[in-house]
Amino acid sequence: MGDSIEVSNEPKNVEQKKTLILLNLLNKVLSIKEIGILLCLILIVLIIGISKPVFFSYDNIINILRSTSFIFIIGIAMTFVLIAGDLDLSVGPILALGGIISSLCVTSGIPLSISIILGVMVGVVIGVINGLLVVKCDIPALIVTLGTMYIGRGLVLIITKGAPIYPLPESFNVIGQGEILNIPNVVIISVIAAVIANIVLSKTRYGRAVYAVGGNKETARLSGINVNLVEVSVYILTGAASALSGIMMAGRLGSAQPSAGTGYELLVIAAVIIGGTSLFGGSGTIVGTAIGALLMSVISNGMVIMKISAYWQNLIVGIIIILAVGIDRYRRKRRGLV
Amino acid sequence: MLFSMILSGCGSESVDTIKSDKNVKADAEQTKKEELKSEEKEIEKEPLEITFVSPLIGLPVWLDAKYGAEAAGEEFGANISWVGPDTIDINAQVQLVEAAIAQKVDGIISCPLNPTAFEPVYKKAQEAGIPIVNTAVDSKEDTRLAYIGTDEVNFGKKAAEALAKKMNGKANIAVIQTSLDSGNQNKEYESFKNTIEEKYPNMKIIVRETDESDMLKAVDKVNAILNSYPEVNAIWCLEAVGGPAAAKVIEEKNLVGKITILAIDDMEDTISYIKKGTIWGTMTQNFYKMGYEAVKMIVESKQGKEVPSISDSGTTLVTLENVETYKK
Repeated sequence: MGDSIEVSNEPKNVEQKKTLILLNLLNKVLSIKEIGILLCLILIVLIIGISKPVFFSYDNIINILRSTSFIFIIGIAMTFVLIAGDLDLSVGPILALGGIISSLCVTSGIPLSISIILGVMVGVVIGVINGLLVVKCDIPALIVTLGTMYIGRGLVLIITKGAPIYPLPESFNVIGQGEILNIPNVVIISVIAAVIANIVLSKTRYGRAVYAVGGNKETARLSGINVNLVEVSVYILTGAASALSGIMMAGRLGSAQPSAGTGYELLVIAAVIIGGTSLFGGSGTIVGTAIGALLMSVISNGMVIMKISAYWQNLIVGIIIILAVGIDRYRRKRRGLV
Repeated sequence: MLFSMILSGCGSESVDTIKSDKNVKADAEQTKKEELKSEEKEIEKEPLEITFVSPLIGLPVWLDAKYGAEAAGEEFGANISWVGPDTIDINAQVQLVEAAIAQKVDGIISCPLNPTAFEPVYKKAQEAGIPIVNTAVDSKEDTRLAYIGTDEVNFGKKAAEALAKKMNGKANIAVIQTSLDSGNQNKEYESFKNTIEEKYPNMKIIVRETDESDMLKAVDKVNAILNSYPEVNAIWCLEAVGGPAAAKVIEEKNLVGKITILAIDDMEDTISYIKKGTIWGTMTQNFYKMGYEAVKMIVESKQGKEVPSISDSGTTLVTLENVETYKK
């Protein structure tokens, strides 16, 4: 009888060990910062996909990824800005400017690569101006970038007189329409940018400096970080990323639209914040931003796929965003992550 | 309060300088004959000041209205100030009308996207004796001097008839519009819907989506619509960028010829898609005429003449057949 007890005890122990390991694993998974919002995203994807299988069609998934890319690539840079405790509202007009300047250059016979560089440079210049005004003149970032947002939109109208730049050469359109192994170039570009940004943010001295500046500027300064340089650099990042997104968008549409990027500042900031980055600086991740941006695109695509009347869409989008972020924040608080 | 006074002070000053600049230039350029004529006019009275508050300063079709207004301004002796927000912003539009009233202009050309939101400021203009001419979108008849624009009911009916003829009275239609609170598009939609319900039982509106006049959003929406509603075989766009966006999508999905697109306005991309055969047709509105006639009406009313309360600027269906000739 003793034997039989031992025998029955053995597997019990193993089972206990197994459940212990599983629980540990679960605990580890659950304490990953982004898991809450990721689970929300997965849940939403499953609900939409199971009720409308067409959601999972290759074509639809590629569409979602592609439309996410334009927001996400700016979101990557915006994550740096928000982590550093700054804010950039001028991304929409920079996006339009980048697309328009590159398109104008390329249609006037300037080689493609130089046209793209010039477009991105416009974003860099506005980024430098934003950064310098914030650090040197001590004007709040909200006001500076609100100002450059208007200036940028103004420049777009002065340059284009409101008319889109059309047609664009095929070589230019490849940036936005081309594919490698059936995956759109814009998706590949944004994934590469995300991987690099993630490494920079988590593994380099610069990345740590960005967190430090957002955490506490004075402490950062005392520990030898050039705070002004870090702040200017993050605005350059959003400037360059927005312009690049605009160039890709012009390529995607085959036409550089003066109204491109209207309202994108809010979309981008929303994606970053939904992904868990603090609006007050000091914390945030690129992975979180990726999830946040995907969540926004999935919801907006899902509304059409689920055949929800256009009258109801905004209301439902609002509820989903609050619910998803609410659940995420509740979990983080309980786990002491906030 | 003080701030706004300073602002309006600045505003009127800069308007003055622009005006005098214009006169200097104009004087230098005029030929003798015209000089005599314009001197006569200028001695008689100052040119009228007319402010054109456009709903979207960046939309190409509205530039046609601007050119029309400027041409009429030159012809009848009026200075046209062209203003407007760069995104759809009804509040900003109302404020621009308000600013024009403060500047005591001689007339305002407007486009009340949401007519009721404009009623208070229109009342103010009436009290100040400033005539308002609505273009493209109308408000209540007693709130303004006149309206010139596409007659929405006619427009919707014409679109329905055109599509019915093309599709032999059988179609599953997706509708794209800017937003669900844009008054003129809603009226056009209702008229379209009533027409097909009355006359074409085999034409159905399957889905109605919005794109906020953003081409990338329009592309995403059309993509999702075609994935989700495979029965759709016609797309009717009530705003300008929807047409080229839908064309882009059906080219990518190899659906050219299987889906009929009826667009609106004649932007360069729309016209080139018609020439390629991707877009079947587009309903063009005559924005040039709207701008021209609006200025003419204000000038005439200032001269004490009667002007018609409602004028239709007309709609033309442009397809491959008349794409080269419709503007002549």
